[in-house]
Amino acid sequence: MPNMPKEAISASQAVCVLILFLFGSNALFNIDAHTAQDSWISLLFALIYALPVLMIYARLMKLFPEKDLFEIIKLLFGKVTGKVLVALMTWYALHLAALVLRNFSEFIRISVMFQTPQIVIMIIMMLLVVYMTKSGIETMGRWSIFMMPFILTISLLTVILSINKIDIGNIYPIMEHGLGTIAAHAFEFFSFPYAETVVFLCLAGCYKRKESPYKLYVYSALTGTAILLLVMLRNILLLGIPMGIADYFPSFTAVSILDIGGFLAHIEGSTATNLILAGIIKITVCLAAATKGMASLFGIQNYKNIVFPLAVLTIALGFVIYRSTLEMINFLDLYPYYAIPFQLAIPILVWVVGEIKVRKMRKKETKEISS
Amino acid sequence: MFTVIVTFFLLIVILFDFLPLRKSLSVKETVLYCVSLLIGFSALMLYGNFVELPGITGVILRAVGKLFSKSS
Repeated sequence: MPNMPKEAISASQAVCVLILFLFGSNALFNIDAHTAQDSWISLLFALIYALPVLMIYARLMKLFPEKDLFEIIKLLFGKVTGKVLVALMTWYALHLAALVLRNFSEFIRISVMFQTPQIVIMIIMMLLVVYMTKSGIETMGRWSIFMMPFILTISLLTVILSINKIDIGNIYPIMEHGLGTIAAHAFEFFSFPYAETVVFLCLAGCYKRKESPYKLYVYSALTGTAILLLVMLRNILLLGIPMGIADYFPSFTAVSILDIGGFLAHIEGSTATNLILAGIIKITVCLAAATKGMASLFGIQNYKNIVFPLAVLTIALGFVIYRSTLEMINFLDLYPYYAIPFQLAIPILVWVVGEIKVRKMRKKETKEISS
Repeated sequence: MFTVIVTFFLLIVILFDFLPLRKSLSVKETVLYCVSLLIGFSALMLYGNFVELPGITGVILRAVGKLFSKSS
């Protein structure tokens, strides 16, 4: 069977993919109910927590250039343990794809298309995701770089247009919840969205060897945080805390109340488009990772051949996953604990074993050269 | 309605993806393709016919809740 041609993604494309991945579903929910008006401080804490972990992800890419997480795991842990770890990561990618798909279909159904059956929304979104996954990671990169200016412009525009409507008092009292509570709840932002970028490691084989993976993660984390921070502050200042927390999708509601001189109003559609575009990238990354994982588990050469059946599985999982929107919101509270093995334990284990093995190999090589 | 939409989607997948790909798929790929498709569509059909399927989130929430309430 012929090997698949190697796909490649440039540094700028990868940065755009990661920024959109971070922006993705986080911009939907945004305000943390536990820290309320201090959510923005929590987000900054989360960035501080996330940077060392992101550096571990980058280190893995540096240690094993042009290899994805599944190849690295198989190389380090052998067939049996390797397959167990690959299966776990594949499950996580598939589950995350289903979670994001469900979040966005709920968002569209509740906010815009009340009468449309949820299955129709899911199928239409998934058809686009399947098309993008089948077109390859390069296409996803090019699409991200093309969409990035639109998404940034719309986000910034809504922030600028909201200036005459904001109530600066909504952000006070600052640090009302205490440093301990804010720092503790920052862990929620850490696991959703920062540490979710572990899924990108499953596609890291496409990242070009000469580009620095550290810069990739730092640039995207900083830019992603800046955008999320702006959106969060806009939501807090426009809606205020009681409404911001009570609303399932505050970003959409915040923009819907904007009205510039009576002629520029109801621009929430643009924000909905913005969120959906970013969400589609996130689902594509997750589905591509899950498909690659499945292909790696069963020894399949061309992962693109099994994209469609896995997309159907994702839709089914998306329905089975929650019984109600309320259960979806409740799950967000426990999600950080559920995600620990996939976001922290497995990558750290792979990193430690990888460092040891690479050092041993280097020592062996230097001995051979000297003898 | 749900069942009709899902059936229509199944037809689309078979007509526009499985049949054109069929000749290029290896046995392993064909088996994996069909099994995944079968599981996905069975779950969707059961859901559409109001058969209560075990909610994965509920299981995860209970497991995580038990794990962390014991340790604390």
